[in-house]
Amino acid sequence: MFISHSHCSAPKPDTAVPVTPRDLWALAGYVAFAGVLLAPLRHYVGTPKQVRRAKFKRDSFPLSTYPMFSTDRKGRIIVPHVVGITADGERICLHHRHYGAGGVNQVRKQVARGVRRGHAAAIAQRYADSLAAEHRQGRLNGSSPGAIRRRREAAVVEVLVVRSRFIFDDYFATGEQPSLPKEETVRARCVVGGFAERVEEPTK
Amino acid sequence: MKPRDTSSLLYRVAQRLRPAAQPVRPAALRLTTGAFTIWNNLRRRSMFHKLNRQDASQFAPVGPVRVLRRPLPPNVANAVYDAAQVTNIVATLGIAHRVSGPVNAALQLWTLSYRNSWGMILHNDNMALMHQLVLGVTHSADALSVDAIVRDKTLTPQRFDREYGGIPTAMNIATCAVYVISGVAKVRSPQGWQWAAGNTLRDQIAADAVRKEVFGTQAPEAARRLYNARGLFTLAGVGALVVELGAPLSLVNRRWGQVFSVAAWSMHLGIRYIMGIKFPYNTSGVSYVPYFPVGSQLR
Repeated sequence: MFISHSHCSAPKPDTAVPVTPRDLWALAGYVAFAGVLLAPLRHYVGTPKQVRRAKFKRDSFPLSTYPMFSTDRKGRIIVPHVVGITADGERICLHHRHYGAGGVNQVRKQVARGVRRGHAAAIAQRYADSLAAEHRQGRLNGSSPGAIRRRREAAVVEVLVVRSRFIFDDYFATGEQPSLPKEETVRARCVVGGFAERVEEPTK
Repeated sequence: MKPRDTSSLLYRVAQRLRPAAQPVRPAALRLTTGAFTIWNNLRRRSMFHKLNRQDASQFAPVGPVRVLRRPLPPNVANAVYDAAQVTNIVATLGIAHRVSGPVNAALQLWTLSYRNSWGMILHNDNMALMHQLVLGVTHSADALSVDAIVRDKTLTPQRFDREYGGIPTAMNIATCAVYVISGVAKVRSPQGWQWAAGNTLRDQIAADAVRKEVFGTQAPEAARRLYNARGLFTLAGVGALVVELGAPLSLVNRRWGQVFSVAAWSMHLGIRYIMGIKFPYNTSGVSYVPYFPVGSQLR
């Protein structure tokens, strides 16, 4: 399919084709097309504070501001998420599939928004219900990633919706194992098979 | 203007951005982009259908989906999604492309916008969609298509027109726009041009790894291993800005375009390896095919 001229035995066609008014319109069309595609750049005009707000608030699809990789995190992050607690007190980070589809970033965003809007109890309930359903179904045998995850999460008796603060240097200083957060606030809890309650309690 | 005033600026601009070409050139792009999107959309079908069943409270419409105040009934959204996949196959094969091309472009725009209307705007479908929009509304099916067989009794009609050479340019303009905006986002971040030092990038990779792990998945091993390699992140930061802000130069010269393609592709492979973030249209290389000549008339 990809044939360079030097490898082609056919005579080279005459490329000096005249430029017609249709071509001029097309060139103008390219400029207009580029203008439309680059329109999100207008959100990068203004003070740093205005830009910081607009690049996320005005992000859209398919015309995006592409704000990824541009947040100055200053070596730390706060993440609302959900952890499971076993009867032995072991802490397990629960899989995002318990909340919904669309992948880790989709769920992360939805959980963060839910916690921000005061819906942490509903999030805890959803995770606990999903775990209870999996406990009922069993399906713990096998070597698939799903079976391995279900075995790991089978001992969870309670879920906590937490808002955790991580310091990257600390987090990555512990070798292979992820470290605990620097600070954490519990926003809701739910016993697996029970009903969720909203709380506001610092745990660390 | 004189028909062959080859020294004029306008002529040279036309030769660069709209070189005369045979219909096989955009046809090859229709087939590669079409085949990729057929595969990429069908493998995500169950995920799209699950998203369509979500609670209305999660609905945050973007783009053309803003015409809706609440999500479509799941069955309707699923039917539209499935129809988009059928038209994608029809348009890729070049069947009645004058109709199927624009219809497919519209349906792809709708379904992918709808997918991004659940609270999280992702950035890995933009380029493929824009390429599909260009291919859908242009004469990209005049060769290597069912239409060509029916109309010209051959898969490779021997026409020669600037329109065919202009289609890859329009696709490359879309490619450049994505990179330029991404580059401006970085230098207009709080770090400004200091973004090139790599600290923001390093923090982003760390943040991504933390998020993956607290949501029960595995962070890429490379993120943990490379976290303390500051020099590497400076190199990556400088490289990313050069690729992104230098993207428009890829339109000026065909060879520069090819160098840009290899550099951008390498950047996406690095993102895939260190962050585990997939930009499949880019890592597959399909997004850069418009930078490479197809057909005997192009050097």
